[in-house]
Amino acid sequence: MAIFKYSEIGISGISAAVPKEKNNNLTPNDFFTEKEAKSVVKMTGIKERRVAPSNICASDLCYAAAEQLLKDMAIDKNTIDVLIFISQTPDYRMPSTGIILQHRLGLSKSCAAFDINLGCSGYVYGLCLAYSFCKQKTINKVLLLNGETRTKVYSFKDKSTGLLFGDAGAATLIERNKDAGDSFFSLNADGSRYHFIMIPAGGYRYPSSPETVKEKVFEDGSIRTDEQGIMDGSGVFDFTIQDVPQDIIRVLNESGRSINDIDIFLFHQANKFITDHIAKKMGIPLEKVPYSLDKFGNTSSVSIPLNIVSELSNQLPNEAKTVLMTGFGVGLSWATGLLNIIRPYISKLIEI
Amino acid sequence: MLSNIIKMFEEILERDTGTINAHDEFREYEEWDSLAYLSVIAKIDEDYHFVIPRDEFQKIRTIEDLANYLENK
Repeated sequence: MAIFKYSEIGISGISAAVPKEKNNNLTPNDFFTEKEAKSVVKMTGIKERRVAPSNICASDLCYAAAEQLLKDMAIDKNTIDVLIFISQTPDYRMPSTGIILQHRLGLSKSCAAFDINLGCSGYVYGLCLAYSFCKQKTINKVLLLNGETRTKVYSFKDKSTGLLFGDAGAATLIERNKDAGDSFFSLNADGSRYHFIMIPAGGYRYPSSPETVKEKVFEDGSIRTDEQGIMDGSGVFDFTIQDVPQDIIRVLNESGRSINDIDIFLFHQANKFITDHIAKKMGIPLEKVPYSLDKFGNTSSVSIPLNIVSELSNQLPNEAKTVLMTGFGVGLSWATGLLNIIRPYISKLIEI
Repeated sequence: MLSNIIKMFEEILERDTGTINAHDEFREYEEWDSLAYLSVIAKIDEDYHFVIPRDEFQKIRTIEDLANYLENK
């Protein structure tokens, strides 16, 4: 079982960057009727999303977030020994975007840098990995970068995904901290449901060709190419309401804590209806569940740190909190973390 | 069970009492959409602590079918 326990390691800083351009889901458009758009907003809670222009990549959003954080915290760049870039919208198929960011950020050549290809579970997976690196006495600080430009992945003319996704990047600094206490993580995978959320073409199984970039019309009226994302909404719904609560319970049991011991529950920001349902079902008071998806949409692995920067920047830097976070989605992949967040530095939300 | 399911549909679809009948095929309702689907599955999960698998739900046609299905669980 992929259960991890760490002691005296914590998050010391968090920042996030979003594109300036806002896209309001209720603005009249040629593809969604007013009724359809209202129904999506009502169901998901997603009202507005940030959309990156063609010249801004996930790495640019992460770069802006990281530069700001390192500057605000006056971090000596030579103390960052590992850079992890988590994204499914990298700059190139090769090399790893994390390596390019090592240079752009002016980090040392003896800093380890690489990419991880994970979506909505990626923040919790990334934190768990960062914590494990910090167990090495030779590692000072780990910089975790989560970046996505999901609006470039999905067709705006897709009835099930066109209004859901937003673009964002986040930077999190992880290091040893005597006050952090114990942290627990559970990481999971189910490849039998890989086709629930995917981009079918453009990889090596189904390579890019003139055929894969042709728009096709589907039964529900959606229009997309095989190189754009697809999502089986009801399959993802079943997965979320069953597997996510089980994982939360596993982590609580593993840590010997109960729901009452947790100050803040950070759910991946994908669908307010579904996560409110999980909270109600588990007896989690809704005032302990912050949301920012109304402003930013689903930003994949960025949604948890973006939610922290957007909703908790007054609270977290002043008061130590026990936090439970859970990310779930594409893979299928899901992960839960229970950690003490001890007064980290949080930069003001950056808009580029 | 049947009366509970009828009441649940009245609430979710915001229908007046008496407008939901046992033999109705609920997918034919004008108000039936993906939000209604999620709401029904979520409400059943809340009340009966059971998530109906999607392939089994697809076989359920009428309000009465759903009540019978849950009774046999």
